[in-house]
Order: sequence, then C-alpha cells, then structure tokens
Amino acid sequence: MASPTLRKPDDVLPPEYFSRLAANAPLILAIGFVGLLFGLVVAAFAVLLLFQVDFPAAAGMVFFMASLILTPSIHLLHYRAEIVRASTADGDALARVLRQQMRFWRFIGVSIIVWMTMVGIAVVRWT
Amino acid sequence: MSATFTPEAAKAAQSLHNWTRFAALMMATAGAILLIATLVIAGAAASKYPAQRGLIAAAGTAYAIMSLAMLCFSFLLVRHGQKLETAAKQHRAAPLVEALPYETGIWAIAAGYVAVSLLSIALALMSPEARAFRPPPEVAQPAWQVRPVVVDSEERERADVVKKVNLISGALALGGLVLVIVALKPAVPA
Repeated sequence: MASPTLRKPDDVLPPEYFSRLAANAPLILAIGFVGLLFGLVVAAFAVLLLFQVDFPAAAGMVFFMASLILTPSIHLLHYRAEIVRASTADGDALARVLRQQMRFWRFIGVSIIVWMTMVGIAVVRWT
Repeated sequence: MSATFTPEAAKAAQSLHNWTRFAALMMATAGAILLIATLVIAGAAASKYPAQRGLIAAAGTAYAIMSLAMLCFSFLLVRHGQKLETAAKQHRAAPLVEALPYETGIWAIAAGYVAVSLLSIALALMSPEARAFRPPPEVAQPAWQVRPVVVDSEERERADVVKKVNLISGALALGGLVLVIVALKPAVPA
C-alpha cells in the first residue's frame, strides 16, 4: 500500500510544463516592454502639459491614463520574471506564476470597465 | 525532481479562472460595443461624406478587425480559464498543460495588437500634419501656479467648477500613482 506522503501521479506537473510556459516569455517581455515605454511617454507628456497649458486637470487625467498603461505592463514584466525564475524543483513556483498572471487579468478587467465608463461619460457629455 | 500541484496553486488557479472570466466578459463587451459603434459611425459617415467613402471603409475595416480580435481574444481567455478551473476543482495538473496552447494564442494576439498599434502610431507620426505640429510656447505661469482671478459671481462660479475638476483630476493622478507603486511589488502566494 502506498504511503500517504507519496504524491498522486496526477498531482505532479509534467517536467516540461515550465519550459513550455517559458516559450511565451519573449512575447510577454516584448508586450510588457512596449507597454512600459508607451506608458512612460504618456507620463512624460503629462508632466509636459503642466508647463504648457494653464489647466492642471488635463495633466492629471493624462497621468491617470499613463498609469492605466504602466500598471499592466509592470504586472506583465513581473509575470515574465516569475516564468523565467520558475523551475521544476520549486513547489511554490506554480502558485507564484498563477497569482502574478491573476493580478494582470484582474487589472485588465477592471481597467476595461474604467475605460468604458470614461468613454461613456465623454459620449453623453458631448452629444 | 518535479513540482506538485499544491493546494496553494489550486487556490491560485481558481482565482485566476475567476478573473480571466471577468476580463473576458469585459473584453467581449468592449469588442461588441466597438464593432456596433464602428458599423453605425462608418455607415453614417459614408452617407454624409460620399467623396471620402474609400477612407471611411478602410478605417471602418481596421476598427472592425480590431473588435473581432478582441472577441477572439476573449474566447481564448474563457477557454484558458475553463482549463484552469478544471485543474483547480479536480486537483489535477494535466488540464494546466492543456491550457498552455490557449495562453500562447492569447499572447500571440496581444503581440499582434501591439505591433499593429505601433505601426499605426509610426504612420501617424510620419503624416504631414504631425510633421507640421509645433508645441505651444511655454505659458508664463505653470499650471499649478495659476489662480483664477475672481471678479463677479459668474466668474466665482466658474472658478469653483475649475477647482472641482482640478481636484478630481488630482485624485485620479494620485490613484494612478498608487496603482503603479502597488504593481511594482511582486505577488507572493497568500
């Protein structure tokens, strides 16, 4: 009879799981890096607006939009780092990878609601 | 040595499934709204400006492809989430492996999206209008130093509205900064 400390075979991740997951890492890095650069450009534009217009609200709103671009990009870069760091010997690696991916999708879902609300308000305001 | 599908990982897979379903629902809603808006606006614009039909058709097609890509993206996201849920509920590692092709598809579509966006930004920056653009000269008073001059009640009312808008925008900017700072901290299993 098997000892209760032995793992059930189906509980064990296949050894190639993390290497197959890591095959996505270059794509994730590219998306995250481009998003980060774009977000930084928008944030720099917000700072520029503070000096070029006499209406600070515009700068605040542009900076908020920059943060909506920067935040998921940072989550993606963290996710990529977790994928690269994960190894078959680390039991917690999978939980960390899944949790980091969860943070990304949670932000995407919430920010789509925010974008749709902002567009909705703009459409109602100007029509 | 192989890693096990720990209860902690199962919990993380379940919450990842919940949030991917939410994100997919939001993305499908946004994609459907974009598709309907594109058809309505392109149709109205084409009848109002018959001479510009070619341009309107090109722009409408681009937006329609973008919204269809969003719908396709949300479908892949739902399938990815379903595999994660199966893995979490049955506590089996095999569905996690089955979820990998969906995840690859999701990142491939996202990368295509980013590439097309970069291409359109590059094309917009190369246009004659963009090249002719010159930033406005620096204002004498930076925005945060501007204090509206209050003369009569109407101007006082307007100054109050401006103050309120500035406060809301400042709160949004601060909220955005907090989001970025929180994102900088990597996630740790609870």
